[in-house]
Amino acid sequence: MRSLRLYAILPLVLFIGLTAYFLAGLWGAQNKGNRFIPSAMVNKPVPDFNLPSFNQNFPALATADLKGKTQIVNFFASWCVPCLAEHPLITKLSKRDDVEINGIAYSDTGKNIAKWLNKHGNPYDRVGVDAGRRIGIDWGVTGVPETYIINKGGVIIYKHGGPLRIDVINDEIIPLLEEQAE
Amino acid sequence: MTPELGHYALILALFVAFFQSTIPMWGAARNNIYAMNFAGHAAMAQFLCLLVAFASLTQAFVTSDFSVANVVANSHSLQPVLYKVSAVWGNHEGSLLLWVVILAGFGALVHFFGGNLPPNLKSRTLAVQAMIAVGFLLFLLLTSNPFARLDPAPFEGRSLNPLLQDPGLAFHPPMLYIGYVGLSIAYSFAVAALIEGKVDAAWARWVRPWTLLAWSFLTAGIMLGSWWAYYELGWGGFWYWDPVENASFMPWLVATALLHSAIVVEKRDTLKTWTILLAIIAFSLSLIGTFLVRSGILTSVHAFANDPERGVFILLLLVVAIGGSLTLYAWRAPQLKGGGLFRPISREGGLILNNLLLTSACATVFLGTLYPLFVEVLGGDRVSVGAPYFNATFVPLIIPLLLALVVGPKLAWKRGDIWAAMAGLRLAFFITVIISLGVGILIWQKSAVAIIGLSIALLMMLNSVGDIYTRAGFRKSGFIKGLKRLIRLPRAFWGMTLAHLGVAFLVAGATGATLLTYEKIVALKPGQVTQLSYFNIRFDGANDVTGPNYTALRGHYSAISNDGEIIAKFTPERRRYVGGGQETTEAGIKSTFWDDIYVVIGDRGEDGSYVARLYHKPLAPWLWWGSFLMVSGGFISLSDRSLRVGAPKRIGDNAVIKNKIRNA
Repeated sequence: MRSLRLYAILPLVLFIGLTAYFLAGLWGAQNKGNRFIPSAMVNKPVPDFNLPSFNQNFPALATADLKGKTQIVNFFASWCVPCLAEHPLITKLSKRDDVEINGIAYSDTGKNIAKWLNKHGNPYDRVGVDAGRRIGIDWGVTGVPETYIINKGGVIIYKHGGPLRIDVINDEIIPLLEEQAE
Repeated sequence: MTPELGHYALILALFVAFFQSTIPMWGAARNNIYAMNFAGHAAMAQFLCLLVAFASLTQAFVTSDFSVANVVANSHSLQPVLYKVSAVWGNHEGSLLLWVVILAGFGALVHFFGGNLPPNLKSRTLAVQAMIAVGFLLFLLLTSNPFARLDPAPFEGRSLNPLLQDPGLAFHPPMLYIGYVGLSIAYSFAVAALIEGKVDAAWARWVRPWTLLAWSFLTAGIMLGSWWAYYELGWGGFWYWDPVENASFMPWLVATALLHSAIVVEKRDTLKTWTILLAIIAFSLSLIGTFLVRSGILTSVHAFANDPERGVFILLLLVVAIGGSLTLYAWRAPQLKGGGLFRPISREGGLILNNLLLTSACATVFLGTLYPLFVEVLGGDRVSVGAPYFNATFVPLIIPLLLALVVGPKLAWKRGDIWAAMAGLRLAFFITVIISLGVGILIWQKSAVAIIGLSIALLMMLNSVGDIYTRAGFRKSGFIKGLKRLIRLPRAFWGMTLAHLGVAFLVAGATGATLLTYEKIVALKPGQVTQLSYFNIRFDGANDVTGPNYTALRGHYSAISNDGEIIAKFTPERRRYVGGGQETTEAGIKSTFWDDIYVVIGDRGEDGSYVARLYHKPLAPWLWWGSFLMVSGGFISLSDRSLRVGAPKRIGDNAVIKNKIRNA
């Protein structure tokens, strides 16, 4: 009878041990933050492209523009709600002088983009309109918004999928920009 | 408006579930029949509420209501209707909703078919079922509301992950969930029995059909997933030992063990505490699987976004559900009385061996799946455990299991005669050896190990055929009479035999698809021919095509026999979806009874050639035939049991009595 009692407790003991591991694992996952598989594009040069702007008076965007200075490339769209959510943060980033902000309007028309930027403000130094989604595919974009950082040599060094958050900017993007400025 | 209705129904379901989990429990303790009867009505009400919630989410998806955040994230107006519907469960929130709908559906079924259950057991089972529902409904409402709105609403959605836009995968999650969640019934029955302190043959008879139902769906779900991976991922594999796959495989292994051990409880009134434990573990593993897939604790290529915060909530659920039931088990199990005695060599002994091997196999899969986590927590590097580990540990456990499968059913209950059982296998063994020698010469150079797999599969097949032959008694009563007897054999026998035959096909298929495969990666220009095992494959060119919501590169290939005759044509595709720009591959597969030829088109080279991956996979179609046999075996067996489970009232039915007399 006593041995039976011992056996009956064993599964519970094992489960408690397992729970400890799960807790530790979760804690680790939370601390490490983003555990998505990193983008295949990181550490690769910017793909070749040349996109028109939303109107003739505003600078367009091509691969050649993304050199000489640290660059941020932000995929956005006028139909994309999270893009609107991150818009103030992009605007804030555009106030920095160690980086240039480039927008690629994904699956959108110049007319819509002009209207959208007019309404919400234009933080971008250059804008390319990728109406056919062709360029987004080359970048490996899986959804909008997505944000990339490109170093002075034209190599992608960072990718963030989904809308930017204040903690992402403070903990990941700004340290990276400062590191690049040195 | 409809999404709010759904949200409201969801909240209502939570309250119903709460009362369903408390009032009947109290009633069962006090022997208050009114409070106990409340369980059944509440189960129906809860199911109805959740159906309303599910219907309103489906409506939002079908009409592309982009004011619902979930629809925006997972649907697209150009998506075909089938995928608009399957997108409902192709995401975290919606799949969780489906999960609780099925959970409540099972509760309603228990009420519906459980008329002959003792009221105490029934009300406690439904109450435990409702406790699980409360946990998951809270999870849904607090962390993953599927009805959250967006303002302003965008014009277009982000489309369902294109990998999931596939008929095989559209039905994979519902099947799998019916399997996972079906195990909750066995769990609830086990917990209810522990509370009552009574497990007997009747209990096992009630639990078995539910386990069988869950097992059949789980098998079908895993098969669909594997089939999908086979033709959609384009690597020619059917099983990757990915954590998500393992998460569904572990409950399957334990459910298989439970299915067999419940027989012992039913027939011999012994092995009770073990069976209870299996019932708890089977569902616990489903829960742990859910946790692993959705918490981000293990990295896996999967459609669900990983979110550690949700993970904390699920972990809490795990602790309450698994920890609670195991505590109850530790407290109550030693008080359950054991039943009949038996010798090690007996039907019981065989079934125990089956159980030990299945649970050990499950333990190795469990360790392999969680090893990366253990190492990481202890401060090591991120590691991954791949196929070599699983092949080295899982396969050696499965081989004796397969042999036990052949011999076990031939042993008598209580005390069996192993030599007599073996003697019945003489002919099958003899034929197996001869054919294996012949096949062995053919495939020796390709893979010697494959001979073992094929021999075992062949022995199992011959054994099944032999069993049918013996049971029909062709030798004693002649062909016509034998045929008549064959039709009237109990469906449980047919179910078992078909399922075991299915395992044989599965083993042969797995052996062929892994060890005997020919593989070739070549760059071909249009018109070029290359050799693959004993075929020639010609590349006829490639062109661009447009689908409803994608554009694709489509290659044209022909398989040509040595005489120059065209055997088959292939049109593999690489699709690029307009919603998100993701790429998928569609393999071109030509199946015959004996083999698959499998063609995948790759990138275009600078010189106008295209890379192609070509596979010749002998016996690969048997994987799906085998799985299909197993599932149908499960359902056929279930149809037999349903006659007996609903028993007491129908005894008066003439047809049943006649049947009984005939079978006696």
